[in-house]
Amino acid sequence: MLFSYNWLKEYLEGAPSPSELAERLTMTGTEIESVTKTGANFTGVVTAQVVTIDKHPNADKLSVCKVKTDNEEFSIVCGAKNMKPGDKVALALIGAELPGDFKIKRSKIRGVESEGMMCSEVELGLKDTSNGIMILSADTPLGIDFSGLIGSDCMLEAGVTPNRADLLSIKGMARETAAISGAVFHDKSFPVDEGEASVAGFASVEIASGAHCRRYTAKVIEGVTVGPSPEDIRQRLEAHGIRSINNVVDVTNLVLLETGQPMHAFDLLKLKGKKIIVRQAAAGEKIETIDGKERALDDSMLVIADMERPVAVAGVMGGKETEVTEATTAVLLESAWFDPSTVRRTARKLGLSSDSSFRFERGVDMEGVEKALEMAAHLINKLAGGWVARGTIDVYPVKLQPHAIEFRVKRAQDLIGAPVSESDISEIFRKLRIHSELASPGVLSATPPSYRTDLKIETDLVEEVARIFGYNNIPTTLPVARLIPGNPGRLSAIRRQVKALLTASGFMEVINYSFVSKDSFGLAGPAGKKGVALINPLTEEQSVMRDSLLPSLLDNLKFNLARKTEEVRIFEFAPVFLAGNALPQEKWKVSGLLYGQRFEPGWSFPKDWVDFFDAKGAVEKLLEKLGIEKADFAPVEHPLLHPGKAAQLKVGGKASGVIGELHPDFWEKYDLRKSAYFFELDIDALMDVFGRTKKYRQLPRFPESARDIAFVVDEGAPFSEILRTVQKIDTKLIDKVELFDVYYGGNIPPGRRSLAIRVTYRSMERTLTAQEVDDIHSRVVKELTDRFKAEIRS
Amino acid sequence: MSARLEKLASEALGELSGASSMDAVLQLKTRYLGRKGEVASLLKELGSLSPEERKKAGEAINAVKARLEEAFDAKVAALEAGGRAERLQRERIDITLPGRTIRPGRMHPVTQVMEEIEEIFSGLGFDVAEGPEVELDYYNFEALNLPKDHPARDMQDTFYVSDEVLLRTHTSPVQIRVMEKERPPLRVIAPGTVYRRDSDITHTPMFHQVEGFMVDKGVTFSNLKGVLTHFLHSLFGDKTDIRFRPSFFPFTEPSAEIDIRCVICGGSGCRVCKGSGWLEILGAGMIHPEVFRSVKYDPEEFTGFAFGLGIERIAMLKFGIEDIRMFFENDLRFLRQF
Repeated sequence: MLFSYNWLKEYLEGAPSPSELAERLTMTGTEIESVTKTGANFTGVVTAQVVTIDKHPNADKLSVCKVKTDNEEFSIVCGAKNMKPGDKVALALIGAELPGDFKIKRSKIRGVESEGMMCSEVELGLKDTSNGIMILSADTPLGIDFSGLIGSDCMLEAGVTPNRADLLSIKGMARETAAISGAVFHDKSFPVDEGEASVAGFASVEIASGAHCRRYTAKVIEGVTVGPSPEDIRQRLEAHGIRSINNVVDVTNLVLLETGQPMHAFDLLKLKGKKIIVRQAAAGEKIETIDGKERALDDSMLVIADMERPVAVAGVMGGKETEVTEATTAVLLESAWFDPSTVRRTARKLGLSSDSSFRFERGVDMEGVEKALEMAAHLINKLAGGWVARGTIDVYPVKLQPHAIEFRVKRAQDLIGAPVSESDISEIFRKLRIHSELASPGVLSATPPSYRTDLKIETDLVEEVARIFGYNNIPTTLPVARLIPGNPGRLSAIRRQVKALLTASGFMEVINYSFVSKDSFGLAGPAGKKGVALINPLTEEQSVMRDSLLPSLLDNLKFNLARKTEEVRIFEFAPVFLAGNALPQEKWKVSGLLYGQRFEPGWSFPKDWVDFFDAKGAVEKLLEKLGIEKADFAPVEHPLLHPGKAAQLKVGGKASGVIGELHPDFWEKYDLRKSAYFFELDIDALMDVFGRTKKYRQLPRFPESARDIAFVVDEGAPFSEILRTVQKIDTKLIDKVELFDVYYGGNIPPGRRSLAIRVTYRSMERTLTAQEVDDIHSRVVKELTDRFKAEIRS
Repeated sequence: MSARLEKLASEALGELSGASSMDAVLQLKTRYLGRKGEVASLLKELGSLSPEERKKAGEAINAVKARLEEAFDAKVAALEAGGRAERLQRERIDITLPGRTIRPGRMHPVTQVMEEIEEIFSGLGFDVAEGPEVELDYYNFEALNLPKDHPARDMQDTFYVSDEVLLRTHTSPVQIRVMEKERPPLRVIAPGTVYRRDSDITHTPMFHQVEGFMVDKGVTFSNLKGVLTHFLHSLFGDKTDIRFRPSFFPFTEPSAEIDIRCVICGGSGCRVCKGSGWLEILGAGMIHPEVFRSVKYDPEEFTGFAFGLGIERIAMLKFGIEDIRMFFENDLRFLRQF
């Protein structure tokens, strides 16, 4: 909330300086975000009046005006069009200095001499934008120094927390200032000079929906003259971000700012039946609000109606048809208390937030309703004339009862951890106008003032004590707790390991948004799955929760290629989302993508491009380091992958991820010149098996005997099967089987390939004889020939 | 004989000293000292001499042979030494060329800061707990004393999946989920991804948070100050000035915001701290009795504190990053810097 220091001071004796006030408010819970000095930053500007306006003889867009002060007349060339003879203006005379080092000199404009300049608010540094020159109010005296009229002030921007509705006003801020500084708060009084005729003869009020409106007060002012407000009021409103409308509406806004009580003024003559009914809207009812928009209402919304139709959305905005205009002669002033939830719901449904609804939502002072009404009546009477009908309509069926809270001194001390004494507490309560008395030893009975709608339970008061006592006066102590180290949890543990291993393998970690475009969803298949869409996304690009990390990684690749980063090796560890029951299913994945040269380009490595086996190798290394031994790979179909270069990872027989080359169909979409390779692993599946206790195996004590075999087989015979077959021939004596060459072409017929393996034979119990080795080896050779039609080359 | 012997020796030594390669030396060695060499043929001639002369001449020949062998050995050794030195000279490399390595990747700066924070709290005995990112309204708001229609919901602009399901706006729902399952004493941090409907230079619709809480008998606001002061001193250095300010969160009371002295300007006021000299780092407070009631803890028996902080903000301060959106562009030129 933005508020004026000068206005605040009207309520205070001995107010702290603006900067000290800002510091104190900040340190007691109301953060002051900025303190801005305002006011005149110019000299030589006087108030003046336009006498005549004539066309400039040499320029269509300019005019030549005669402008007078109290004792002189000047000829001014002006480009603005918003003034008329009789208007009061701010006139910069020859020699005037305006903000931005702008000096006014005698000059000729298109051949006509100008003896000064009529100023806009922008030129005077009073606003950021303006529409033509500044027109002052009609009662502005002529020939006086305009900087004196503006005065100087400080605007403070306060971040009022949602619980402190009472601080959304000048008066509330002044009360708080008194509580946290040595200043003394003095309330203002606004005596209303009332006429003979009773208000009852002019209007009546009925609350038909008591739960939503606990108090409605109204006064009637007859014979008003609606017109512009005086300059000081207009400036005060504008400094607080409210546009001046007319003297009656301006008063309602002024009272809102000063007291925090939202007000509304109706044109009494337009209220059908001269009656106000507070009721729920009927389904299908409509209202045109003062912003000119038609609003459809429903029965959850509260309205102010006359005998025929809604005339205002209660607590949110008034209706166009009954608003106060220059033609209005009689006003019905509303000051009421509406239920915070009702106002909030209504405002949200209508997508309409106003200064009024903002305050009602947070809770206004039910006991302050009438006082604000009197202030408004006083001011309208003063500014717009007329006379105030006798008495006030005050429909207040259930009066707010003060609510005493039991407050245990020891509880406060225990919670805060500081020896705040009973007398400290009583003193703090006194400053905050919380009435307290000793109920029993160590227990106070504390009754907050009616405007502190946030103070309901003992803990609320403990917070008050702590914040006024000062957080920085509370000692800093470490708690006493068991000496047990923190447990990172299984997900966190595997995440750390996976990230450490992949970065060690040269992958950079990326973090992408969890939401993607509808186009990206489902790219990684399978078809037909149901996703998790947002009702209110910021953009279409971020409208559905992703079901795979791969499209995001491809986006990252495209982004980096466009920035001339040609070697891309990235991974991401994040959950993916699919529709579930009460909540979606969230499955953690780790995905990696490889593109470009295998080694960092430079002088010392061969220029080679990554392929499928780099991706697979990264996965194998990861599995090995995680202690996962039982992993298999099988061909798989995957919409993002090349059909001949795609593998499914199975851990313990369970599908746990995919590895493969990007399907060439996607090269264009991602601006690729080479293929990309990636993997996506299912963390849940790995988590089931990772990190089993490691067990020592005895080192061999007897020598090994290794034999190499090169053979030619059909390409369709998967190596994994050959490997398994050989291993199974003798699980005791075959120690290792290693592949050391794969060869195509040359004298190998098409459709076949040459493989070379080294089989290491060894017994854990004795040294094998040459004969024994020969025997097993010939079985290996035979098995290869029989099962795989291998043609042995050596 | 002796004259021939002398001539042979001087010839051999002369040629040897003229030889510059190992090959030449070995050839000479064969010629003079080989089995069919000149020395050997002189020895063969001994047979024709008288026993007396034979002995004398034999001794003389053997002496010359020994002399030549010594000379040849010395020459071979010298050539070898010279050859090694020359080889080593030849093998010289430019040691200023860049080294050959498979460069490791880097963890995302957000992860780095997150892990640093986890480690500090782990040292204080805090466990790590996690929860779903798509959450029920109940856990994200209601159980945290934020009923529907509460104006404080405005503080967190929310993405909705349905009326009751949303993207969590903080990791505080984990607090509820843990407390529902376990009894005090509890010391837990909940790191994770959170979402708010906001996007500009200091806000992204997704970011990361660590929330933490401690519940036990007799936990005080003073303890909150103790733990968070330790944390901030570990993260930003022991000399960092810290201030605690009252604030408001529906799920804590008393609530606090915690500032550190601006790490950019040192407190004199700059753009980053908006001239205040302070940077807001943490939100915290004593857990609200309503929150305890929603997990069926007796607020008279247990008290506790909770706190939360944004990881990106800390990373921005630590690394001097000005635009939060950089974290999610995943430009490798950016990521490689951390």
